[in-house]
Amino acid sequence: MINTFGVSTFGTKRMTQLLGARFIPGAVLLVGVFALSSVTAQTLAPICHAKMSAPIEVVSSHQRNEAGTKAQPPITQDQGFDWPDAQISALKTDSGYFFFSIDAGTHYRQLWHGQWVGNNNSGSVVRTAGTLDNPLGSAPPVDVVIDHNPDPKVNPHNCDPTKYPHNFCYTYIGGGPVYQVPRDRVGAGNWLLVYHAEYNDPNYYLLGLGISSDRGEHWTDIGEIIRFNMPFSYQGSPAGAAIGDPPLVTSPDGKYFYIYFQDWLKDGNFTMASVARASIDSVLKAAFGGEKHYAAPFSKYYQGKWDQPGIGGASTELLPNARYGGGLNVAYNSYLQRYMMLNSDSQNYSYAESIDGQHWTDTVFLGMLGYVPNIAGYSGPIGLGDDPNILGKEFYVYYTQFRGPWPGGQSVKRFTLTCR
Amino acid sequence: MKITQSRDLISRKNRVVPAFLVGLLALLPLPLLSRSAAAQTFTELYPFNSTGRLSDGGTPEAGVTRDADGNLYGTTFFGGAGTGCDIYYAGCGTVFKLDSAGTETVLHSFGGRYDGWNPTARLILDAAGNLYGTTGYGGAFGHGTVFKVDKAGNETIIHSFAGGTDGDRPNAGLVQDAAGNFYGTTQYGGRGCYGQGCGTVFRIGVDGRETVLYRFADFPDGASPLGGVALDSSRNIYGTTWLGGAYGYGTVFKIDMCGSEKVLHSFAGGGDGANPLDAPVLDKAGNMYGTTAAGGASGGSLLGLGTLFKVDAAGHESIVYTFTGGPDGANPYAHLLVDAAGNLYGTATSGGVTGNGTVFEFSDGLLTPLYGFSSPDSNGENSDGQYPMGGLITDSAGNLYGTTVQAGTYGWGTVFEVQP
Repeated sequence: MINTFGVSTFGTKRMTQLLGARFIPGAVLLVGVFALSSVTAQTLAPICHAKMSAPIEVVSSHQRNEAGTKAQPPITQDQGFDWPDAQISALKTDSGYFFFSIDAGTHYRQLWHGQWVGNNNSGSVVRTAGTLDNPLGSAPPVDVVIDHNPDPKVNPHNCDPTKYPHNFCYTYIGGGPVYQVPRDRVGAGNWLLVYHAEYNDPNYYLLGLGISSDRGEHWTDIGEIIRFNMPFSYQGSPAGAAIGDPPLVTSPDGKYFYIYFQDWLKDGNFTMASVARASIDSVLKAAFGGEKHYAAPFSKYYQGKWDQPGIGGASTELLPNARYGGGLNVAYNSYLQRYMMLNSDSQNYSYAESIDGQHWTDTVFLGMLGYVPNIAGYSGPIGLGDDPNILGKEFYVYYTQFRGPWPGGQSVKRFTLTCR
Repeated sequence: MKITQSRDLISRKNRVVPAFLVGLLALLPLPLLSRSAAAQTFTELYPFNSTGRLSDGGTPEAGVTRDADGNLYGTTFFGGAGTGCDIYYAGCGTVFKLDSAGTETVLHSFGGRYDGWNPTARLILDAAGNLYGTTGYGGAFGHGTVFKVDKAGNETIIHSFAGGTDGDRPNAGLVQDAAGNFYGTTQYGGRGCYGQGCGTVFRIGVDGRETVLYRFADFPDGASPLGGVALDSSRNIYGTTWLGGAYGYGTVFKIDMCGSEKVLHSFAGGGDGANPLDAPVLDKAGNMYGTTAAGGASGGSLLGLGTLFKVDAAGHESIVYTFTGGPDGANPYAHLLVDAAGNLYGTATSGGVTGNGTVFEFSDGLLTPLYGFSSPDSNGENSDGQYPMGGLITDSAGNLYGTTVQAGTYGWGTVFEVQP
């Protein structure tokens, strides 16, 4: 994925959509508003009363470029370190944090330390070890691709695009938020990751799962979980919605993984937020419980029921009054005892709250943090407690500050959100 | 290339069109909005990257300054011959001159160990033909500079910001009082804001010594001033902050000659504006006019597409125009130009007929789009530019001059002229 607005007249000319966000020009925005206006308004009121700090820079573009020179396996394409091309997520370690995001560059096949690595495709999983003030850290970033599943039937589209017909293989696959399987669960200690994949002719986005048993040194694709309601078509229009690369969120009863995304509906409209779920037991059993590793099916929430398939099913709009979308990130806030959804279109930032993960407050506008073409994409909240995926009264929101042609001047910024 | 467009008049909010229909304007065919068909002429005076590899500069964010001979001067964020900067993309930015024959000369290429980097500010010109400006990056301490470039292109660093209680990241342009002192702002530095500093207002004396006049404190004070300041005849300083204030959406402030600061207005979002990015301008009557990049929404939403605001001599704020995202534009980032008759001229960075920004006039409560920028092609190129982020200047004939940050004949922004 590359900057929507970055334009280059020399060097690369790739331009695709921000995977987690979409700036909606006025006319388009209004079409979306009217299309959604018939949905019943929500009555839940927000209780956070958020105060947002001025953003600070936690990774300069210079630091990012320098880190790319140390990445392992070595970067093989000219642009350098195209990171972070998704929101930054975190797991806490004994000495600090692991952070995860995507290097959007092409990872050409290469022999490295006696092993073939790379997939001739764009995207990866980058693991860095650092602190909340320096998520890049000083150690070499681990920058690896999501390997195809040993069983080709699990996902035939995660393949080498140089060896298959046009657009049979994804043109991008990378992730993403990581779930560490707890001790008392099937697959304890392993990591489960949500990845974002793309076709680029025309642009089309989807979500899948990957697993790692060696703390992110290698990742294996276990298959797709979410596709738009609108099917992919070579003759079709580019996707109007940004599906993002959202995290798995545990439901209030602890039984399900919820996942939130923008859906592109068959009638051409798109939702600002939709949700799908799968039971945690089924996901972990399918991913780790047998000799074969695959993704359990997810079901989209539609008109009060969880009966639509995650792959291509219809979905209900969760934010009927929202005016822009993309970059959805939901996390539980233990201080509020509510879920919080961070939402941005790479310019405007807002949040919403929910008690049950299905019914949400109207969005609360936080401010305009990015301004075209210097947009602010891929917002991701990180908690300050033992579990960075649980938010508190005060938490951090990281985002990628775009500046000039991707990825030359991009930096990582952070603001503090405090619920008063 | 000269392009002629007809002009459309759009009423200010609630003057002619009911508020609930304002949003619909974006969806109406253009003829329904037209009130007159006076033609204006647009000229792309200079497209950046004309010489290849950005040696002539690229991405001009700030608009231009004009001397008595009709030469235009400005800065570019990228390009030039410099190296070693943090945000490097074929150069670290330039100070350029464009003569009335259309010949562009790079007066100074930023870069190197102690020089500033990547300027975003408009220049000011003294009687001797020296140019003064700021860089948000670089300098002796890496926190930005105030610089002078003489007619021959020799550059002098007047002040390198030290960060901390001193300012950090002076993004905006300078103003000069009758005694020769310069005034400006820094986005960071000073105090508060989790150690990053909420920004400052500074003065550079005629002896070159810098004094921090005010350090912002955030809520209910402002934070992160991104624009410069305006001076009145009593040496009061007026400006805006991007963030902070009572509602977190920025402020309009006044600092008197004793250094005492007062928040004149805290933007509230919703129908009010939000997130002003540049300095206000003063008219003869002491009224202050400015832009907010967001806010101005109708119907109770906290999202909007930007406003024009007025603060009268008594300190009362009112929204005089709300952008719709239609032909009028959206998201105005820059300061306004006020002529002797009190008419306002400005740019909207997005919106317009194709969503790529507009040049507008606001007079007698009516906003008139003077020009709407075209969509770039797949190479990011067009004949007029895209996204005017900077403000406008005028000449004695009433012609308007500005810059776009992207597109143009060679894809890296333009200097343009509009003859109303």
